[in-house]
Amino acid sequence: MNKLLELWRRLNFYFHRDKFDRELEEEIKLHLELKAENNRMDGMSVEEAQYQTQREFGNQLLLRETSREVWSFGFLERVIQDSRYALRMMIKTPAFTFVAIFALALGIGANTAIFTVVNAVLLRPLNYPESERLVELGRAFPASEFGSNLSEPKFVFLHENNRSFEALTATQEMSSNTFLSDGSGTEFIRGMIVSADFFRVLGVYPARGRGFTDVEDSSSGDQVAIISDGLWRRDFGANEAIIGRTIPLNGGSYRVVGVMPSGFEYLGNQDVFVPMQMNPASKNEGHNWTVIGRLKQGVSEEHARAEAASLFEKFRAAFPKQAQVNETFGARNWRVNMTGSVRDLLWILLGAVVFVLLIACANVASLQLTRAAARQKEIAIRMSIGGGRWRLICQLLTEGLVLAFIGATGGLLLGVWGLNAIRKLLPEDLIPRANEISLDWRVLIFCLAATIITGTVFGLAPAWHMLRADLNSSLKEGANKTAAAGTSGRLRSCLVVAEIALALALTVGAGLLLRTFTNLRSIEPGFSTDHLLTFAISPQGKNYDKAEKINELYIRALERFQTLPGVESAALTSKLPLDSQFNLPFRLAGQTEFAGAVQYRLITPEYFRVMKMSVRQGREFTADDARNSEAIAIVNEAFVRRNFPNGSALDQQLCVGCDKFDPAMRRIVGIVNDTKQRGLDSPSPSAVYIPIAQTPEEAKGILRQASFALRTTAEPLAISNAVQNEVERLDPTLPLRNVRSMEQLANRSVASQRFNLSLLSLFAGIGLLLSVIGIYGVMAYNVSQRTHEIGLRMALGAQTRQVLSLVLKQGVLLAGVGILLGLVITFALTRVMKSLLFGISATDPLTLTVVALLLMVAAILACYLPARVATKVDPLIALRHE
Amino acid sequence: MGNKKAQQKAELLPGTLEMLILKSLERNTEPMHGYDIALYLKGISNDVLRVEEGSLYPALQRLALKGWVTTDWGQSKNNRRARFYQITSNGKKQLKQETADFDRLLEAILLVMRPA
Repeated sequence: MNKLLELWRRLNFYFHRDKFDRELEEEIKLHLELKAENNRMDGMSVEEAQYQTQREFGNQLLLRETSREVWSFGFLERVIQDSRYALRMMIKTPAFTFVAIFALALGIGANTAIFTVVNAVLLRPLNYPESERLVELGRAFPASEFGSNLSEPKFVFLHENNRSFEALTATQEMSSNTFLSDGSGTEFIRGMIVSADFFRVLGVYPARGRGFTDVEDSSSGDQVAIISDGLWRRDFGANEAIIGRTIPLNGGSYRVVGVMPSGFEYLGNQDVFVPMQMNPASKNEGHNWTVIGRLKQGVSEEHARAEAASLFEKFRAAFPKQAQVNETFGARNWRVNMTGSVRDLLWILLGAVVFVLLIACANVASLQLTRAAARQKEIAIRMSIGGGRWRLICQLLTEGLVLAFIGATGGLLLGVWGLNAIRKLLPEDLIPRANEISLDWRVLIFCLAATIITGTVFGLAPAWHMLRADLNSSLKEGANKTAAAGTSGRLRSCLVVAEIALALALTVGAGLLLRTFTNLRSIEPGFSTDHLLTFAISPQGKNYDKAEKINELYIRALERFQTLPGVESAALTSKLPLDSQFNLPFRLAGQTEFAGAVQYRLITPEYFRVMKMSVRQGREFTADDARNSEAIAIVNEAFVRRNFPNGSALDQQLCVGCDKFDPAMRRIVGIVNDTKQRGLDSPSPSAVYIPIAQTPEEAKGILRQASFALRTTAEPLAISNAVQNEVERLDPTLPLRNVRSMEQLANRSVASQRFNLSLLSLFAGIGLLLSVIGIYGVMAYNVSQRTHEIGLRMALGAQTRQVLSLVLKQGVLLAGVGILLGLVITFALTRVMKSLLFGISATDPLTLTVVALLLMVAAILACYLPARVATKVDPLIALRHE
Repeated sequence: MGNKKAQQKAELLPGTLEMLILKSLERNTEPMHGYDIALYLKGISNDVLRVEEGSLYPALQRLALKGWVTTDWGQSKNNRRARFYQITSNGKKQLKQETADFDRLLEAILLVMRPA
């Protein structure tokens, strides 16, 4: 109650401050008069009495201040008061304010954006209940990092024998050709094949209906499916009656047993889940299953890993043929494993933006010091009339913080904008969990912390310097120039050196990525990427249920495409280069075991000519290589190198897929050059080409996903409309999918490097700009401080050139020290970049030299302007300057 | 010189000024203005307690803020407009509390300084 009354009185005071001041003044006046009368009665003269009274009374101003403070909201009000003062100071020096806020907004904005990504991808727990108990299991080898998937038999073995996990699930993405079709149209969707425990492992269950039963998940189970909330709303109008109805999935009919809750995601957005229908006796050696387990309560990741490793030895004993020499089971926290591929990249980017912020900070601190020197007298006066040191530090700190907060507001906006830009720039699949990137309280706390730290740093820098300065000398006109130049000059030089060092490290990082990028782009992919249009038409349904029918459609389509204006030639392949991979095992004639895996390609005879590949030996396919003629194949040089190191591959025989898939023994009739498949930075895989006319029936699914390649005379995407029309005329139910130029595909294969490069160059550019502004500021200030000296030199006969070199020498010295320091930082830090580089060492001397020179030139340019100003000094005016 | 020393001594115990003001107001029963309080304290303490104006007025503000005194403008003895301070019942309670505390403290100090 009392507190409340007190607050009320305080507020009352606050709104009647003027009255308070008047009353206090009156009270004091009365007091003085009474006292003076009293003194006079003691026998003093009127003036003496007045003087005596005044002296005894002391500092009236201070009295009023302290009286007022009693009523004020103390700290809060002081902060507001200081902030208002800070704002007034900022408005009075707009150029300074603009540069400072601009620098801070850039620094804090970049940090906000990158930290948001780091936070969402690396730090935030996965969006499942108790997700830190989720562990991924996979193959592990001593040499390579854990990460690859498991085969069905291995999953079965783990599933049956482990004791560490509450539940274990195996999942596999359905083919990119998964579709729903109701006769009127076809919708391509994304789906997952999952084992029954999928929902138990993730701890998320269907919102409607139920999960899969063990019977449904067994090889005798029916065709059932669980659909996503998104698909349910999109295609089925959120109808509750969906449970128990069938949907036309991949040409079959699947009964819907459940609908997942909205917002549920598993490795991205999925539309449909179907049961794995695991075969306990499977011998399938395809390592295609992602295996996730939920640790039992209290079981540690290490324990699970040890158990998994020991289980592998039991597996080896039971199935020696399926276990490789150094192989074992690995287990790792799912989140850590999922994001392992980008951890280095993201931390490096965060490091880079922290550098940018440090540069911005150094820049603003050095600007503040310049201002501090100009304000030396103001501060000295304030201190001499009784401003406490502490109060003054608070004032300067407030100024720093106000600046930081304005900068941070701009930075936050910039960061949000930058984040959207990053999201758009982000190559597909480069960063796992990319769709989870969003601001949250952690980002805001990070931003707040960054703001307070930066504000404190450049608030205290000038405070420290000013309070050290000597009051007396500052008050004296003229003396202040040299005194102020002393300490602040040294501090500012240090800041500039630091800025240049940091900017150098950033620029070297960007330079290394640029070299990486050009190295990659200069790699020949083994075919010509320009003027090449690619797309697919994915034939489905009754009309195309045989390989032969699909083949006929493709041949008819090719005939049409070839006649289109602007098309030079056209061909078809089951998989484009630089796109995804497709492997099959193969066996050479006379062998009983598979000899390895090979990239499997079905092509039309014109394919090599369209791609501008070269046949090294033998021949191409022709139209005569028909369904019923001799079974043949063409292999690439990588295949020959691996399998026939010292003999000709021509006329050798092999089967690909073999057994039930394609038992034909094919004669090798040609050898063709290698092409890149996974990406420009990985070696070309061995590949085998089969004439499309001889497509085995088992491969018709592969054939359905085949892509056309059209060599065009002009910009390839320009004819995509014409192609669309032709496809519609061919069969209006056919979709035109994945229309891309080969250049786009080639760019996509270096998209991650392009992403790294563009971000780091952006940060390096900002860093460079800020440090150039920094060095310019210092030099301009120095020149203005030395006007007198320069004038004297010129009066004594110094030439323009000498004055110029006097100033430049100082700048070059600062830049030189900064560059040396930067090289040290670079040597210490760029090693962490190794995993992002290609064909270049982390301490590439050429890059280091070029960047060092670049910085030196930038520094000299930044000094040149102030140096020019110095030469324009009129000795007469300069000497009168003081 | 002696006065100066006394002044310093009076300021040694922080927070006592408020208590002294309240005591003066309680004893006088009549409302007092600032100069009166200063004179009173000076007189009653045989000139030892010289209240500095720089402390007196902020202290009065503090008391008003806490609600231990009320203020009112009125006529002084020689017909001048002056601000008069009067102790409130809350102020009396506070004074009682502080007096008790002070007595205890004083006793303790005396015990240390002049052991029986």
